[in-house]
Amino acid sequence: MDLRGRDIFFNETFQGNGRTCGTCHRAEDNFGLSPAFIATLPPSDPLFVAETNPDLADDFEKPELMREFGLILENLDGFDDLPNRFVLRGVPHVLAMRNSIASAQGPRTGWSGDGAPGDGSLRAFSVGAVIQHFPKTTDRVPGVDFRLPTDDELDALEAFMLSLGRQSDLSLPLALKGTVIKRGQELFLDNTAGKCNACHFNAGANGDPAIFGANAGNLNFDTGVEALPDQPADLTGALVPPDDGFGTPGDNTFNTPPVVEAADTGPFFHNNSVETIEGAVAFYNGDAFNNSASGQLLTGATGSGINLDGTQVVAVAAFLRAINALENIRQAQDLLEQGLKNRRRQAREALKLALEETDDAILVLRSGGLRPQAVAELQETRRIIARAARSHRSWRYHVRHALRHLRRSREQLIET
Amino acid sequence: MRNRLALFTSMIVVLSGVTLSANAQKATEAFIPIGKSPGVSGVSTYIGTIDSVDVADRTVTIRGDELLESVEISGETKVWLDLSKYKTKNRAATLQDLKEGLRIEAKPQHDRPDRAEWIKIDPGTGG
Repeated sequence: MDLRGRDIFFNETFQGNGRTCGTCHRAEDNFGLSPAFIATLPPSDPLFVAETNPDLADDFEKPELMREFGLILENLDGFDDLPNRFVLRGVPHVLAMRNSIASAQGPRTGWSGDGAPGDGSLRAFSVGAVIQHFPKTTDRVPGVDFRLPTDDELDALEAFMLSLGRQSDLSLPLALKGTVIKRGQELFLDNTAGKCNACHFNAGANGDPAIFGANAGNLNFDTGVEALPDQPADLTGALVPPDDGFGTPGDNTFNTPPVVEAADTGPFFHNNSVETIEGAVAFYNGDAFNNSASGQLLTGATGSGINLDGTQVVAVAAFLRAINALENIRQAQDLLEQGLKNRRRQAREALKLALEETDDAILVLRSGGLRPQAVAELQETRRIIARAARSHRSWRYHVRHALRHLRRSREQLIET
Repeated sequence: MRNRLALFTSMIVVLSGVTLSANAQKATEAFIPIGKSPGVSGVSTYIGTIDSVDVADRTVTIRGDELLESVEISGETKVWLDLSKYKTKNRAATLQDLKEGLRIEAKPQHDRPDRAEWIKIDPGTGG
């Protein structure tokens, strides 16, 4: 099922404009889409259909904002005024969805938790995505501009998406190594300081069950991101209508993403308004959050908003970088072990993705100046995986060698 | 523990500021033909022909295989003409488009099953 879902996800255009699910949710970019990755794509990539298909030239995308900020056009409040009624959102990754979208009120998909037609499920989400992003023209006539996915295809797509990334939440605190990383974890878990764990329980996407109830699951909050000053897309002077979040008209709430995967999936928030993980943590110190509905209620109830100093912001971000790197390492290990079970040709894709996960781990740690010894082990891992990919006869030997270095890199991040 | 309790109390209040309804985004629903809405068509929608329309009461009665079901059309009910069969763009409809004999699908509201969340009409099926 997952293999069929994978094939549909990456190859099925649904007789539309040439896009597939994988056009925006790139495996090589952590199943999301960053401006840096967009910059590597050729002009013929179907992501750019608004630039190459005259029928989609108007009101389908905002190509300049897509290229510069990774923003995708969505008509979440209806299709009756295409030139003026739209929002621009980043592409959320689709990792760890098995434990990120369930809530007491039903599944929450997309940035505002209301991304799907039909029953609102992840399964139905694919139908909405095809209608929004795949059509040949903005008339969006089924059977003409695209075809609807079949029930079997929806089942396969759902199974594939649920198979991506973590299949369970962490259990914090972890026995992490590194002074600043450990302090970041303390701040993250401290309900008088970082207050992060209340909504990102165990660094996932769900509310703390002790606070929100056992079955609360994923929640929506108005955190004031839309009130941030100097938002990159706004600074261009282009028309960027306000995004009112969940519902029509919206209630300004957006749902909570998991943060284990955050450090290598920026930019952050629904509108890609913050580029770095440190900036995303610092957002909760600012007026936009502390004056928001959620910030005000938090202040009223706990006596203060969130006021982390610069060192503390960096520490929380260091913690997020460390758990992201651990997840990269886990995924790279899984991919390499999968590769070992296959013939070389079939293993090639797994090696490629393992290399990318290793690169991500290196980047998130090195960008934060964290655990140089872990970075050194990861760099060695990278070198060996690349060698395995080139080797015809001894690639299994190299993969096993890479796995040893991955284990060592992990040991530099967490007590084993 | 005290801090945890304070936060617990506060978040009960915070919950009043979070969304407690997870209704699906309706926008792309407009383009999905009658009977094809994923997870709801044939499960929680009424599909049939229009038996009668009461404009004063703003209700439409749908004749299914065996049953008659009436749903109210509120100001929030989305009503669309499903023109996909005619390879034409679907468009918003009005109460005047509801005519006896036309094929129709109505999705009841989750919390008010007597009221329609959306209605789709096939305008070419009148007898």
